[in-house]
Amino acid sequence: MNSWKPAAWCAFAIYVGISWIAPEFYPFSTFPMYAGGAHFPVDRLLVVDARGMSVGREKSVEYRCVSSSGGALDLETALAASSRDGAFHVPYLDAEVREAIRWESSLTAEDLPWALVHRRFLGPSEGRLDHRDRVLAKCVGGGHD
Amino acid sequence: MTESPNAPIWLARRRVALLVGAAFCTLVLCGDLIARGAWGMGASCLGIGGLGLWGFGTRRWALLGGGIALAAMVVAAEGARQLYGYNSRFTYVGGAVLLGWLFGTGLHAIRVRMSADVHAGPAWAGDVLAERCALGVLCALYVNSGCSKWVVSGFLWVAPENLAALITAHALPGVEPGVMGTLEWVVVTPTMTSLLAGITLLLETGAFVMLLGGRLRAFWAFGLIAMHVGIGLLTGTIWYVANLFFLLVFAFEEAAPPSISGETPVSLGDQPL
Repeated sequence: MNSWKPAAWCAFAIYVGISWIAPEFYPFSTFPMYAGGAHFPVDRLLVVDARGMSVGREKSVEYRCVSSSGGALDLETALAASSRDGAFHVPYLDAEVREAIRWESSLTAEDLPWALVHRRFLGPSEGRLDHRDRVLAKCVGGGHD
Repeated sequence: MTESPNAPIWLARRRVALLVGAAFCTLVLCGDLIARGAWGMGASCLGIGGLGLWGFGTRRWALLGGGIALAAMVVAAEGARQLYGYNSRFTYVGGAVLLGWLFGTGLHAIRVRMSADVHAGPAWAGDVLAERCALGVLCALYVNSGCSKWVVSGFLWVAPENLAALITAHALPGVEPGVMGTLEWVVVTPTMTSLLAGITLLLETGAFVMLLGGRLRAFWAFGLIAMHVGIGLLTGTIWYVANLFFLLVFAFEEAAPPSISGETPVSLGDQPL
């Protein structure tokens, strides 16, 4: 028997053991991401164009936005108002959008091509996946005047 | 028994690959700190980690250098977690595989010191043990991920709604209509989502079979690679490139050098470890 075979199993067992005792201490982890599963409805915070397609997802786009009341919007309150608690959402994806928003009261909402929306996917039904959008603000890309 | 004075080329390649993978993860961890404004901590960890990895690259300071590099990664990762409540999970593979390699190197050093064994082999004998231990830790990452799903969700994880909701949450809003049609078909087809979830659970939980070696090791490694590619296509999550890299590097089992194993050399894939 090769002498390194038990050593490899030993390394395996030690890593697994320590990970479950100290699951957050680098480089030990039980990798629990999405272990709890996901469910519908699914919520996303998005900036979309007139077609409803997400914009600026792959680029480091900064969004300049204005709410319908003409100023900044408290997104936490706005999302809570949409009864978000019962929906599945991925916090870091929403955070990416949230961090890219710059509120500018000088903008005029009617002139802006994009919309900040709270999109809710309701779940598969009869071979389709329906969603509905709630517009939270109007936006434009960072470099656009 | 004739001993080769030179390390096998595959072993040297794996050592270099580990260096590259660990350096990438160090860069990401420290870059994340710097990008968030923790310049001092990020730059210090980067400098010390780079120095440690350089030491790891030299045989003389491998254990010490690797230990320093790992310590820098720990400080960067734990620093980010304390400061921002989050660190990049996909960088864990670099630190974990490096830890496995160092564990094997340390075991070999202890064995040589304790036994004064003339059969301990040439200087690179420790690298053979280190490579196997690094593989052991790589397997453990996936088994942990699979076990987490079993513990929290059990068989419910393969329920159709689970993967459908995960794909929807990650990918659907951001893809063009043509691609969206395909993704939407996956999402609304319960058999497909359950099958893909089941395969994922099987591949992760059964990753330990790579330790059995031979063709099974390559088969399972490429199964996990396919899983990562599938996740990338279905959810747009492309961050696990370091995992892909290490799986590719460790997919193939090389013949054990006779001077180390004390056995007749075997051809690639003929025999388990």
